[in-house]
Amino acid sequence: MTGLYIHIPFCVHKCSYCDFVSYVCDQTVREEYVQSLICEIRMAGEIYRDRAINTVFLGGGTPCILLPAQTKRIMCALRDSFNICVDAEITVECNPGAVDSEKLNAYSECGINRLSFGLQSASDRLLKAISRIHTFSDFIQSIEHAKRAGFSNINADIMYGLPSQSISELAETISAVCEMRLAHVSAYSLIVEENTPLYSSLMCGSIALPDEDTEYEMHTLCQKKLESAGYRRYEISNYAKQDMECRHNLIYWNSDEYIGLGANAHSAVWERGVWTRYENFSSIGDYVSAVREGRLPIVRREHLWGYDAQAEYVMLGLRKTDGFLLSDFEDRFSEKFDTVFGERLERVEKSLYVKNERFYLTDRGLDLQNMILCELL
Amino acid sequence: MAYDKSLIRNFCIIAHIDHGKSTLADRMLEMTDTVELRDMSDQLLDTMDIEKERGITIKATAVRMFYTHKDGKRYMFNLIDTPGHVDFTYEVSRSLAACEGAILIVDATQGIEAQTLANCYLAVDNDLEILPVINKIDLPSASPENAIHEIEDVIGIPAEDAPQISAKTGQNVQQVLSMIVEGVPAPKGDENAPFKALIFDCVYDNYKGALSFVRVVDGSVKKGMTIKSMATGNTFEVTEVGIFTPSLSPTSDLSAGEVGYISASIKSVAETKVGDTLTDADNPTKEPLPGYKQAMPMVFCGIYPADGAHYDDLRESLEKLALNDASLSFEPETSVALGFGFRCGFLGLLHMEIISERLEREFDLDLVTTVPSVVYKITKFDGEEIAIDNPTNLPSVTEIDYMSEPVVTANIMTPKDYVGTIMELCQERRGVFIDMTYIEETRVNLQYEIPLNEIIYDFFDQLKSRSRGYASFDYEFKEYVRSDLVKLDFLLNGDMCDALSTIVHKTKAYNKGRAVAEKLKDVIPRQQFEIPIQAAIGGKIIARETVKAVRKDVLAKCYGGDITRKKKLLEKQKEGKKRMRQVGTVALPSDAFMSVLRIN
Repeated sequence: MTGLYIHIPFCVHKCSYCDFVSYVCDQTVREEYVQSLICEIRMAGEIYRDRAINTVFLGGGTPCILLPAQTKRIMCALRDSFNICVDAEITVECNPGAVDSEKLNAYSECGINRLSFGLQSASDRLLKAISRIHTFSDFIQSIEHAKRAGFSNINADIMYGLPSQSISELAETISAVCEMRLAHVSAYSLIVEENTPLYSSLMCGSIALPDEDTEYEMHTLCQKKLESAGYRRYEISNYAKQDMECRHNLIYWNSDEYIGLGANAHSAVWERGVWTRYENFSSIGDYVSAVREGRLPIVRREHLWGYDAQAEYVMLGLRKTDGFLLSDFEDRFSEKFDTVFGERLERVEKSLYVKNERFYLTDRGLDLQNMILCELL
Repeated sequence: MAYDKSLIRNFCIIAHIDHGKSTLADRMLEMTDTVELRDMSDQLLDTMDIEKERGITIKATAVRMFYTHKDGKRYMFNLIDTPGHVDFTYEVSRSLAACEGAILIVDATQGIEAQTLANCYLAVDNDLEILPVINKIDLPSASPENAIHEIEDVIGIPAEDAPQISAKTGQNVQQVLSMIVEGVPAPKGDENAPFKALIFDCVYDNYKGALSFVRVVDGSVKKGMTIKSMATGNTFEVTEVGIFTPSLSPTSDLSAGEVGYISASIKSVAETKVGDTLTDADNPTKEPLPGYKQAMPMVFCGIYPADGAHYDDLRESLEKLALNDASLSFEPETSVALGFGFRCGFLGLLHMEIISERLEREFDLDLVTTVPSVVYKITKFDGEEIAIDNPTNLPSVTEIDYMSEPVVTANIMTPKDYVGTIMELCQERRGVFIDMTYIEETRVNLQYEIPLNEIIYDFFDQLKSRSRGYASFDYEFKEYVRSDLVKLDFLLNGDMCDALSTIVHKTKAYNKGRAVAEKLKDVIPRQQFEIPIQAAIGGKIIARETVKAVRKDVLAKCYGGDITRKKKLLEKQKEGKKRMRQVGTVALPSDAFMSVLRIN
């Protein structure tokens, strides 16, 4: 399996909790970026022409900020340069209220078949508090447009542990989302990153986060409500209706190959038998000038083998509720999982993991994943 | 050529913390052109970072200056700097033995403080001429008249003509220089007699090796001479002699009355002993100088490397510090909780804090410090008497007939408005009231006898906060007193944590046990399982708290293909875990051991 990730580093407005690479820019900069991106797509296509591409993900930032024509040009370039499978899952991230019928029809026309909406909350009060620019009714409207344009594979991101968020507000959000019968829901907990406005507000005490116990209650509430609505938790924060798992994200957790294009995009590929990671320039200026000079805009590369590669495989694989197949570990690394981790496994409580054909964590184990990884790796 | 003894003045400065001792020294260095203004950094004599930050002088230092008096003669001044804090009485007394006079600085806004008085008595004991100076007259709240009255009433020396100065602005500092010439006696001693010198300090210099700071009493010393330590009988060849300007400057010789350093073929500082007398090996003097009373460590605690792999580094660093700090003692010990470390003895709590801070800063060590303890005396039923400085070594209760603890006499000087609250504090600390005298209308000296283990934690901080910083405090050991003491232990998830054990008075055990358990509950991070914290006396549990199990520790956030960020977070968590101490099944952060002290 190989995935393609395309980073669109633009937003209309930066949310207070966000520390992803994204900039507020005008149309001129965006067009210049799209041109460079298309150049990079062509260069990368030369290198990875032999790969069959199973998934494409346009992420950001806010990819739907691009004009329908720009998105089409990017998709055309991708199809020209890469061998994209007929049944590939092709996702674009959207902001509620930022996609109209015209845009959605254009997406459909160029083969995009999955939409991921950053809803975050059904409470307009909370949306405002984390400086999102949409309302819950924007979201309802966007979903209606999307369904009318023929999209059935739709995800909504929701967040819990927001400043001043109550359990009942979260419960209402989950219920509202469940009612819309979407294929997929991602429930993330708010992680306060340094260098964000949210972090500063928190430090100066102008806002407060729910305490540890409340946050945990929210976490279990998500699980309980989503599961009873027919979603299966297949990763720590991802829930899907049957067979509707996000294939692109599974590529990350399965330690399969992905090629990241655009500013700050990350790649992980097998090259000459070595697992290699690439990272692109994060500033648009550096990115554009590298591509203009005909160079791949790579700022860092890292080769991983031996124990490092194994540890990363375990770290990512254990995010899935099914964990990983012990045989897959052995196939990849020509070493038995037990030989490498057997001794360390004893440090982790038995009730936290299950080992059979697969190695995976129990529900309690998933909740304590960081601790387990610290003991194990 | 020996300097004319009648033109030499050896003196020190006695002052309370913050009364301006180092500032006055700085002004004198400037006015005598000893240092160029451009070389001046504030408080030049305080070479250690900690000294500058805390505004106190820890190690004695010395500097030579030349001053031309109004009589036209050029005088050699040797200023020996002394520490001001109560913990460093030992350092003070060794500086005093090298001087003939002492400048007593009194802050015109504060008056005499308990420590000033203590150091002043030391100076009197050493037959020093005491010259009072009133400082900080530039401040609006200055009251020089009160300061003069206090000096005359409390210390009993005339102060009417004392220079009234501002060390900060330099106002009237010239008068101090004249006073030194006129008031400090010239050194006695015979330059033609056999060489005889007192070692008042030792330091280790990376280039020159072990250096002895000396006051030459008789004769002279120069390069190439063979000298003998009268304490050990060892002989050394002198490789260099010199003076402090304030950096080390070699000179041709040092003769009677002078202060300087001697560098000899001394391999380790352990070979030279502060208080020892040096003499000419070929023509020795008959009698050694009196030397000093060995300082007795009063407070003990365990110091452990945060990372067990740094045990040897810790040992080497302690050895280096002990070279010029004879009051620091240490010996290896093992703790179930903390592994291999050292039991260290200190003069007091400040001394302890400073040593651990120096270890961390100057030697770049990460340390775990355990609860400080005093030395208890145990009398067993079989008549055997033992002294213990670590609660872990307390014999079984069934063997103990009775226990005794050290009691000190404490002098507390305070404005009279705070007498009530301070008496309350002393009462809480099992203090026995001895006396109360008025120093002047508004200031009082309170005398109490207090068990030392009641003042080694936070007594000083409490005193300061209750008196808004105005009270000052000094203590000296009085005697061992039979006392009803018990050992308070703490169990984490059923395992005893030896590093947390303390010996406390029976009446306080219950409250202390509860307070520490509560505190531990806050400092121990939640772990995979619930952790009961129990306080116990003997086998009896007296308090219990619970650290709830962690419920969620997982990154429920999408970092997409950027695996490196998740990895970094995990690395950070692992790093934090490494810094934890495993006590049985429980991981304890290294600051947990000290934080239990900070209980209100």
